[in-house]
Amino acid sequence: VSIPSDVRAHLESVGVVDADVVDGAEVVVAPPTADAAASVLGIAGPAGTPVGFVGSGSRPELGGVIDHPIAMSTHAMADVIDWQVDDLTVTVGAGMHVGDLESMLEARNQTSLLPMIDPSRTVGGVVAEGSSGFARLKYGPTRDRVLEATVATGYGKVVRGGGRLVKNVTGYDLPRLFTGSLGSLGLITSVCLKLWPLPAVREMVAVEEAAAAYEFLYRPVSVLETEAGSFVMLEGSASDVSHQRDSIGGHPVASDGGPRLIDLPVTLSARIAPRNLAKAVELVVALDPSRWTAAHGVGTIDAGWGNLARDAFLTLRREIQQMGGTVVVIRGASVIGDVDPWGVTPSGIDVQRRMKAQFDPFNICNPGKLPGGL
Amino acid sequence: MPFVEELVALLGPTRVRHHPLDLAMFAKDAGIRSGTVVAAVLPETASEVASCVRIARKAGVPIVPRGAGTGLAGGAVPLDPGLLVVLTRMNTIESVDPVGRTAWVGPGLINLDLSRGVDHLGLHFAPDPSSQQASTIGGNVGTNAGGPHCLADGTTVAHILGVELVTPDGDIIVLGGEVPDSPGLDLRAVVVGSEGTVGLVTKVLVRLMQNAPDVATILVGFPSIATAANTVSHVIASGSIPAALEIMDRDMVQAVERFVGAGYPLEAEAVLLAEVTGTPESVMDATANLRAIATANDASSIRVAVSDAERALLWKGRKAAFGAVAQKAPDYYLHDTVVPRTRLVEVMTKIYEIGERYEVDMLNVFHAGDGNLHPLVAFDAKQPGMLERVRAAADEMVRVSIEAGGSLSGEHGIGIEKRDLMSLVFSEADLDAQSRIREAFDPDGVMNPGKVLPLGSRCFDAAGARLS
Repeated sequence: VSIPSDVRAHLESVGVVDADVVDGAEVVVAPPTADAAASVLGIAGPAGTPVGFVGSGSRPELGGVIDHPIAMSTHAMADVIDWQVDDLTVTVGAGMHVGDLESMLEARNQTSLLPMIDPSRTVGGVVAEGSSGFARLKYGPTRDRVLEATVATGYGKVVRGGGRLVKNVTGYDLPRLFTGSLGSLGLITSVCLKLWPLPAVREMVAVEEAAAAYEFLYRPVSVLETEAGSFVMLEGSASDVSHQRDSIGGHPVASDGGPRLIDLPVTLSARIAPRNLAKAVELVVALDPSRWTAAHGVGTIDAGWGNLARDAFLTLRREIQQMGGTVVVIRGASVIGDVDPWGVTPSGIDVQRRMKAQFDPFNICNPGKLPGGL
Repeated sequence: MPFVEELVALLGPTRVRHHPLDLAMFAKDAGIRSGTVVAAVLPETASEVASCVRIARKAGVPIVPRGAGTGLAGGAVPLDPGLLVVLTRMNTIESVDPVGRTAWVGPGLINLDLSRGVDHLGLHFAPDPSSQQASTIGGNVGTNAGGPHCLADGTTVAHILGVELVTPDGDIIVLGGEVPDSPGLDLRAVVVGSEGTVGLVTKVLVRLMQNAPDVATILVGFPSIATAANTVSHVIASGSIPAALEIMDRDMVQAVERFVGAGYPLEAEAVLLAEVTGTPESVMDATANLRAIATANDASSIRVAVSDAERALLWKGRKAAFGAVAQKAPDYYLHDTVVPRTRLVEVMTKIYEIGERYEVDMLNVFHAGDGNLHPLVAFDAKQPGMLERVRAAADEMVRVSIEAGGSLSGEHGIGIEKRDLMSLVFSEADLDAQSRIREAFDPDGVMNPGKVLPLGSRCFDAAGARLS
């Protein structure tokens, strides 16, 4: 597919970024506003020109590699729009880097709890992936903190859902629908996030047995198992944290200890009911990953390899699926050798298909990224 | 076969209600409007629900789900003559996973019965609407219900991991589940709070929370609403989010005291009921912090419950607030707006002014921690012109909340009651997008028609051009 001349002329007026190169795209465009993004989609749609959305570019393969003549970057929408410090809400452009957001919030003892293991990722990218950080056990997933979303839809309109309020049930839940939608319905241009106060102390503690710590502790921030051992993240006042640490016989780890970023040629995300986590960890570890992190009480195992044989991968996926779980390829489908990134068709596929068609009637927004070929 | 006979053939005569007395009873929820019910059915399985849906579709009758009927926004009131699917008989805890801390439950299970049913495992269900002794989990899902303890833990949507849904086509699908982050769009989240407009929820996977090892319940009297609200703001700004922060005004305290005798300070202009939970150290620290901030804000009395019985009594006062009002007048109109917490005092001042101007009898109890206001107007609908006055005052109270950056509902839902106010909060394009969400589930508009979205919300065609 190449870009029709009238679409290209419109892109020039919005702001083509010649310096940026995105694999699979002829042109990279960086709209400065939600209206500009919507105008591009409004013209690309009837022309049938697919558009791929790009944040920091850390997840190009998620949901599969697609052809998109136009890549739309969020980097020109990276401002703080509205930070209500006392109301614990912040509204930011989708292109803001998570690390920049967290540094800003930290100065006022607040946090968005967005995953910080890769601070160069963008807020929009993390929300569009529905990615949650290590604090999920205690604080729930990222989608529970997206209070408001402004999006440019596949039919070329700017739409806002939710509100800049910590509690609100007014209307259908557009922010949660767009969280984790992988750009399949349109581009998230800004979000309002619920913030939390930073605790006096947050500490990573090494423990002998993660499962026992999960069972024993009252609402720890996280209980993780990794290739380098088991860790519990605790928070509270200094005396509270030290009491909790002693109660499980843990010891503090150096600031560079604990789980590490998993970004290897083959990166998988296995998801399983938490009660089946130990069994699933066994299956993953048997394939000798270079790095892995399993989250107790959550049911996720992230693992990375330099290379992984196709048969081994397919066996792992089948065994995890037999336990009701899924194995998603985050990176390296081509390294493994021609495997579907999802390996499942979602339940309610008819509704999924109709929802995609409602928001992206011309099928131009990251087409094919959702499971089930949507 | 005629519609009702076909339902009777499916469910038997006792589970199909169409006697005029039954129909009159089912035509109302706890709000102030009534609708028209053709028949009310009491299915016991998802496949019975699916069959009822198919029968109704064939007859061209709209379908409205209902739980205990405690909703205040008219969500379970059929506007067009409809089939009411009452899900209260599907009320069991089907399975509990103590490791993953989840349970599959029927939609008809009463909220409080869920927490009671898992208490022996040291677990509970966090959303605790004041109606929790009567309202059902399915109804809580429908409205995305809240409650005092949603301050720290979030409203119902944060506690629903999966739903079994009978679609408007009569198919049974499962959205979400025990496995985190199901691939595909998060349709589960859309079902929660959709007020029966996308299908019928026939099973719910709930997230359960650990019971806190320690808890402190604190009752503080204040000389004004402002000093109480400032205490709430300062507590949160100090870096601690308590489990609950509730404020009641003088009139509400008087009503509650006459009703339950919880020992609330009668001389106070406002009372703050706070609860902190956690490890014993964290509870001790948070209690001391709250005490210091309350004192600095001119607290007239501070009482920390010393026993479970005293704690239960203090909470009984709060939860009985709406029952207490029934003693004052036969009818009440309860608001549910939300404002940014920092605008609380300013908005409350305006709300009192509106109440005085319309000469309505108003009492206030609100979830101060998250800015969720509940001005309650007690009245007698039989008095000529009274209902109109109450409604006009209500309309103004909503508008001052919106002007302060607020929203229509924090936990009760939109239903019919606030449907036509949606355009105060959302643009035409926003409402069109919400119509699209609904249409993806229910292209023919048979589920609870006329609720949530103003008529004519769908206004753009596929290419984004305006529909004529």
